[in-house]
Amino acid sequence: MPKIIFAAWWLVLFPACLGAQLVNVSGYVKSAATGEALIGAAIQDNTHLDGRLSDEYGYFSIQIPVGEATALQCSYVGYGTWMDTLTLTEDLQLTIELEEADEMLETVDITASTLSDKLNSSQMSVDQLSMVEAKALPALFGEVDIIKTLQLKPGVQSGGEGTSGLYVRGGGPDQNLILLDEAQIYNASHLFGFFSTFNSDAVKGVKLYKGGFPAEYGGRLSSVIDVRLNEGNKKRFAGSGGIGLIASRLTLEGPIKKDKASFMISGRRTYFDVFTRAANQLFEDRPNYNPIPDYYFYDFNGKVNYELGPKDQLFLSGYLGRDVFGFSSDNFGIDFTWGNKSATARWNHIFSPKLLLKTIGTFSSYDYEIRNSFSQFDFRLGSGIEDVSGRTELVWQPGNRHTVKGGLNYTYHSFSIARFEASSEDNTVNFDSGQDFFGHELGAYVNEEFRANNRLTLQAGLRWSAFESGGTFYNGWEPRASAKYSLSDRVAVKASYARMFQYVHMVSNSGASLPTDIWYPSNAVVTPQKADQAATGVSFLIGDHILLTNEVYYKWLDRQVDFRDGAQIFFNPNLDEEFVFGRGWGYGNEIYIEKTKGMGTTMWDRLSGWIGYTYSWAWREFPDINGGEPFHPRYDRRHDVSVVVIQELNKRWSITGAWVYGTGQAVSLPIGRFAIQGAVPGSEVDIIPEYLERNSFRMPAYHRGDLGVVYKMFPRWGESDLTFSIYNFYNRRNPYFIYYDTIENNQGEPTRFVPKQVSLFPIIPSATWNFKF
Amino acid sequence: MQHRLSISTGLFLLLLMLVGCSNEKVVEVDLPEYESQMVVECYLEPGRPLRLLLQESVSYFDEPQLPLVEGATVIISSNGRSDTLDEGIFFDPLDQKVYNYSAPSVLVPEAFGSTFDLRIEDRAGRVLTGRTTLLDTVAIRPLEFTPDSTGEYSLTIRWPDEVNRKNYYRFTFHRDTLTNGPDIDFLLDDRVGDGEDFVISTFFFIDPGDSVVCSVYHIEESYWRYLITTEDAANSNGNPFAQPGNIISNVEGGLGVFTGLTYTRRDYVVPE
Repeated sequence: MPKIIFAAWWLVLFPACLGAQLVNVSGYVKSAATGEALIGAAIQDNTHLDGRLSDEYGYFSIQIPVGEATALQCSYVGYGTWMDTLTLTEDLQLTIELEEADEMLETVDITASTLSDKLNSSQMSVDQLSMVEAKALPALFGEVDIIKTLQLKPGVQSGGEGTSGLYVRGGGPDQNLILLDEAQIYNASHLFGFFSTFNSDAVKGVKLYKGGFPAEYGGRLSSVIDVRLNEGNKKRFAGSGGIGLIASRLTLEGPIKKDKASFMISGRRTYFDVFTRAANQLFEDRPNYNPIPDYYFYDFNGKVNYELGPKDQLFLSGYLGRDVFGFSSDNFGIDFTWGNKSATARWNHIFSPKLLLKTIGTFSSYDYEIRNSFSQFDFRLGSGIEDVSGRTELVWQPGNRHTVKGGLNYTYHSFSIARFEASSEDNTVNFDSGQDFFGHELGAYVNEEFRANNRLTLQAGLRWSAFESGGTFYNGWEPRASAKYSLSDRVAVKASYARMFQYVHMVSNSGASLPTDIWYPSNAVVTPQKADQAATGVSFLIGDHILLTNEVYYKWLDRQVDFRDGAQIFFNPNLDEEFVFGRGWGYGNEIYIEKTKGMGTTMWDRLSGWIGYTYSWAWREFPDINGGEPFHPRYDRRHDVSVVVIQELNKRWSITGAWVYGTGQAVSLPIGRFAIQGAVPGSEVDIIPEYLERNSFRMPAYHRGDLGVVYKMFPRWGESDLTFSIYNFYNRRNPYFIYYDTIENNQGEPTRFVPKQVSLFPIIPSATWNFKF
Repeated sequence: MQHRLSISTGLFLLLLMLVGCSNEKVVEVDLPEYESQMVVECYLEPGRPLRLLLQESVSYFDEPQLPLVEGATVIISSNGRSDTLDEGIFFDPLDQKVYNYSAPSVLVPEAFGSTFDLRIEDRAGRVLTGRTTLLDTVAIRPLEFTPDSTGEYSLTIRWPDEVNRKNYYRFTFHRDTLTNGPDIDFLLDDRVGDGEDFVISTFFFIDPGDSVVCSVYHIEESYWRYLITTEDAANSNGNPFAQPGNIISNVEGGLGVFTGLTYTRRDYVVPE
């Protein structure tokens, strides 16, 4: 059998090496204004009806017949189209620079090919967003957030009101692989998830894989969120920024060596603390005034890229972000900080137009620390994870129909868990506890994309992953496959299958991503999580500017991790004893209708947006939870609707709107109660709620409408805009949680119990001034 | 209610402080039919009589009242001796507690290591059982008072932990008198720092002349787990970051606790 498979593989590859003599046209697609690489630009051979997309570095390679006039076209969303007819007798390397749409005539079709590319791609279950789209939408407190924009896509649920947590196709919050320039970000949120760590000025775009994962990705079960930073303007010094209600941003970029090397630095900081400190000073003399604690967060991004030569490119990028909460008085002080750090170094080398080598080294870390001082004592509690990774990948394009990728990656994990230190000035207390674990994670993969003909495209991959920690070794094979078959130029059917393993696990019994999350390695007790996902779908291209997609998926989740009742997560050197293990599954249907801007000048042509609808189920089953009966996780949502509209009125004015609806969260509520007086003298009687079934209640449905207006200005020094947004414009009081309140009489005796719903954000208008020079 | 260092509660309070624009309203919740269970609270305190509170759990939105179980047969046995507790409500002013079954003439012996059994059968034939062992007390080291610049004091208390044995403790601190509730109530275990001294410092200052009462209870794991899970359940009501769980009682056939209650207590008056 292996011989037959081997033969069949080469039967597939071999025709690419035969036939007419071919030459290679290869190079980079870049923005003419900034010199930045354009990811996913379509390079089409209109003579032979062939084509390719540029990779994540803007690189492409396409083969055309020798000596034959060939009409090539290159297009990218938001940019004008490049066209040329080439007659070549030898390989050609060129850089295609596309003009931004604003600089083009109104009649130029700037996006017609985008939906067609989506239709014809073998990759399914993927959503792509550029910052241009994200910035157009109204945002909470005016803070543009690419992760929250992703929540508006079908199959992606948020964790609750205003949060940037992602729950993809029934997966948990720790099952998302979040990459920032290929370095992993373990906790991509600030302020309990109300804001993500991604500064909108520094980010170029994001790609979200919900299924059909290419073999180069591994380590998480449910999604891959690949965020790319801007590279910096290679043409001229430039800047951009914004002043908002709660935060301001500034980004500077420019050439280090024109057209060869560039830099980008970007920073963002909130200023809640400036206002709270002023309030504290103002009211400090008032009796019984409780000072408001300090809180702020900041992000720094930096990037340098350098073209060492026509065949070599070097990229360096880094990120530092931290939340800082602090409170201090004469004798008492507490500081609570948490945040991520990441760094990436990448070297791309082109051996030939057909063979590209990518070598990447990354560092990433997440940690939190609570420092507390009282009188002569100091306490410190913290946990963290630190990764050092290396990856190398060869990309071979033997012909226009084939792209073969093969690679190796290795990650060294360091886990610091519940590190607790206590000390006193007189040295009578000097205590240190906690656990340190280390892990080695390996991956090796090969992936081939094969366009059999203009109708059928196949993608097949195999990944081998392994993990070792404390002498325990696990490994597994992860097959990946997807296929696209075009029934016509406008209708394509797709299917995919992927298996994923996850070797590190988030320790959290909140069901949400919190600053105090602890990451824990697989070991003899905690076995790796495993997921299999199958999906199939059909896409219809309606006209040139509407794409209708329907996808159905089923996901099996094995070895899911949760906690037993009464688990002690903090100060526990034997966390293994607190885990319980089970399984999960999820299934659903996602409908997505996307409209892009047209080439005309009518309102319809200037309209873009999408409607997404998901009908889904998510389940978990643990022998030690809920009496062994299956239950829904909190983020199970039967119906999930999002409507996004971006209407450009003219060159200066745009209006935007978003409406979301979701079935209420599954929650646990007490059914019974009893009173306990306790053993301690003088203690009060407590009412103890009795929860019987896990998440057997539903909160009221969540829905919210947001509106935005953007007014663009064109001063001499550049561009600026005023963005007004109204979050929750019809002031819907959405449920954040429900609790049972005890109503008491004047004597403090309980008279009745009533359920109450707590909501967080009412209507919130905001204004942001953004500028670019 | 005891207070563990509940980080999820702290995070939620922090969130509310920072967001500060929450709003609440009464909503409808339809509860399914609820099957009541017997709930017992019985603490065997050496030198004190056998007594317990026996009540029913009720559906959450029922009228607030103390649903006592009447007419039950309550027997506590140890070392071949069985005592039947009489029904009758009485209030202990020392502890500020109410009991509805007791044997006033039978005192709990100071027999550390002894095992006690509880059996309750009510008129409906429901049976609740429990078992506990009386643990030994701990030796508190001398209390330490540290003055600050204003002349107030913070208090530090230490006690040794027996190495290579799983120990669970409860620490309480009362100001002035035991009849008021404790200012500090911590649950502790020796999974971290087995065999090392426990050190607790008051996170507030005490004025000269104040009297303080510190108690260290040496408790069973099953009681500790019951306290943890009841606290988790209570904290989950109103905390979106908490994951509600089931209460792990240390009795069979109902809810509640049957446990020995051994402790070491120190009274101290801060010098003027």
